[in-house]
Amino acid sequence: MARADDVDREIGGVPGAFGDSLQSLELSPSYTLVPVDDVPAGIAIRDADPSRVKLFVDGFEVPTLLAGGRSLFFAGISSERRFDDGMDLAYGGATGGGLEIDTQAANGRWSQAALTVTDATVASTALHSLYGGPFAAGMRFSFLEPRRGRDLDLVTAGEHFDLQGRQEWRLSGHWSLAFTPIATEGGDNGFARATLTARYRDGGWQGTLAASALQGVSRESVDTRADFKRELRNVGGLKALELRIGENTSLAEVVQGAATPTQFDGGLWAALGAALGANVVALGGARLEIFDTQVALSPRGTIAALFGHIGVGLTASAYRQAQVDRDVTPERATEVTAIVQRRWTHQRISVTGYYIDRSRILVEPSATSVGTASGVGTATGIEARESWFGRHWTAYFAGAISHATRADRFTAPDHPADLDAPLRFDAVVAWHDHGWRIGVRGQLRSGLPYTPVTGAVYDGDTDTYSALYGKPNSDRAPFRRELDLRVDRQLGTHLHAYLDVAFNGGTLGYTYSDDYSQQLAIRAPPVLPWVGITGNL
Amino acid sequence: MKGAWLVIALVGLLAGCVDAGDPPWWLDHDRIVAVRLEPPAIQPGESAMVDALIAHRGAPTTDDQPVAATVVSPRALFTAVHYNLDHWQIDCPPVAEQTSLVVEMRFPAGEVATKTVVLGDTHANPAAPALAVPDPVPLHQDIALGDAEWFTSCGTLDASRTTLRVDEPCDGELVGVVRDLGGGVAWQVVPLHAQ
Repeated sequence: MARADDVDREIGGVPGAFGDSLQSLELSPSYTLVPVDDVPAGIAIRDADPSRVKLFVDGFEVPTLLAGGRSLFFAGISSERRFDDGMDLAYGGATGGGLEIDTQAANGRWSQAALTVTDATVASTALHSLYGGPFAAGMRFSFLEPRRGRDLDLVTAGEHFDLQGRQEWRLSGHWSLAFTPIATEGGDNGFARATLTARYRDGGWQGTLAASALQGVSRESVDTRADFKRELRNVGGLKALELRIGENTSLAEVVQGAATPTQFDGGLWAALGAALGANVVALGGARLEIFDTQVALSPRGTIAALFGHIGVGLTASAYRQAQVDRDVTPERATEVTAIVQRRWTHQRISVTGYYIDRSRILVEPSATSVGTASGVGTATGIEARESWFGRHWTAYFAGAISHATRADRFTAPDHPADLDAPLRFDAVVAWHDHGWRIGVRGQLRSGLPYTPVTGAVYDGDTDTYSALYGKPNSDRAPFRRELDLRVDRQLGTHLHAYLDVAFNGGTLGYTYSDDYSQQLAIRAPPVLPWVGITGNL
Repeated sequence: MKGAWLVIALVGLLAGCVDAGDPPWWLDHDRIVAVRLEPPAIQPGESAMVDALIAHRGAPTTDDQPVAATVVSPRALFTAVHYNLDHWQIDCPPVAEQTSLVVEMRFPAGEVATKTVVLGDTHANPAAPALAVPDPVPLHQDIALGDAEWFTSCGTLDASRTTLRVDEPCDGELVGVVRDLGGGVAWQVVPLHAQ
């Protein structure tokens, strides 16, 4: 499990991210925002598409963290936790990792307002304690959402609200309680989730009990989560020992076509962590996944050591994810990740190598086969990140070399995975002084593979064409190149304004004419300017 | 009103673009325009012939017969489609009830099409659309074409594809296709000369 490295804050807003924290995710070579109709709508991690990546708010799954291409959560009361190098045992049900938004404590007195080209955000703590404890809330109103329609014309999808709040109570010296509602309206992924979390802390004991309810367009659920931690010092020759156990459940009604089956997902897990020496830590455990009648075991372990300024870590994890047809054996992923990090006073470097083995992937039915969970795949890659912090300069470089394949069955020829991007490079250089900050970012990414259309069959009854496809993912879109420029200006004590301009124009993908005789490139806008202004009190 | 223009301008800024392809009515383009069975429904003992109107890039449309044909469904009736001397035809076998026979056919340039013939029924193709286009076609004038699905390789059609306008001298074709709910198809092809 990796913490957000806060590079976006360190370099003062990522150029090309348009002031959006989720779009800043792409600075990490693990993450890709997957667009629908050209608007970021899902989060992919390495070769895992959004359907395999779970999104959580305060420990509970939500259908989306994006609305209209922008992140739902609000500065000041949220922080993000990334699961790209292995998921904590407390989380499961996904073979592609995850991303969690933690609502932050509503302490202190502050207010924040932001206005961008498409939305306005307000977040604030209450001036006085409400209901006996601190309270904070945020709201975003989106008045414009660009979306490409089926006919490839541009339409606006209308305005919508996002809401988020947090109310806290301190019940005693050991117990605290938090209520955190979050909601977004509109679209296919609109939802509301309300969570009540009780925390206990007494010396070496810690515990969390949480219950939550979700009301979504295609899913309604009642969920629970509990975990307990016991920390011991100097036990059995070990400097420290940590025992954790926990559970999570979700009872849901899910809309699947005309049916709304009731589904139960659950997890029981136990983990043991030990400081084996002054600079060596080992964590291990297992998670029992329950998907209705399917039960699977997911063992996970990590060992990390510090040699002077160099830290190394090795993680091996197994993950399971329920199939759409719950009677089918769950999809599997086994991941091994090795990390080496080096820190200096003004510089840090990390290199991550990974190997992921995937199996029991659902293969879509075709004209010659029925859909089965026989698909297999692998992903290998090396990712490197370097950050450098000077007095007036900040620089960040990230690159990845990867290879991801899929095959319909073990003996079938493999082909590139849908999100296989063999090369990815990102560089940001920012200068800041006297209230000004100027950042430049260059992005270079391999184009994604796609299945070419080799012909079409004309249906003389309906006067329409249906495509004939070539080998899966046998063609690839051209390299994506993007240059971004961001200028920030502090205006007095409380105001901050920025201009963010993306220079692109590259090919995003392809579509076809109605009769599939012409391949038509979908191009990014050559120049995309963005302005925003933020006020803090 | 100012707000609306602002929204349009912002959407324009945020928009990518898609390379322009040929419009669906453009005839100067390799494609099948229509497939016709004559007749579209047959009784046992009757036969239906098949042909297609095919558009070509840089050349006039052609009325082609398939070079190969086969039954897609129901496969048990595969003998209904056969080659007879110099053309493919569909013979209606004895059937207890109306049956839709889907036939796949390949045309000389490699185009592939499917078409359904109704076995155990009687239906005729509609009349070909009437074309009343002046010759030569006057420039810079809207010419109403009437009820049909129109295609052209000279000038442009409006969004509803019922009005022809030619702004530059050209030579090409105008095609009108009519279809009915019973699978009947008819077309008319006329040369266009605009100056």
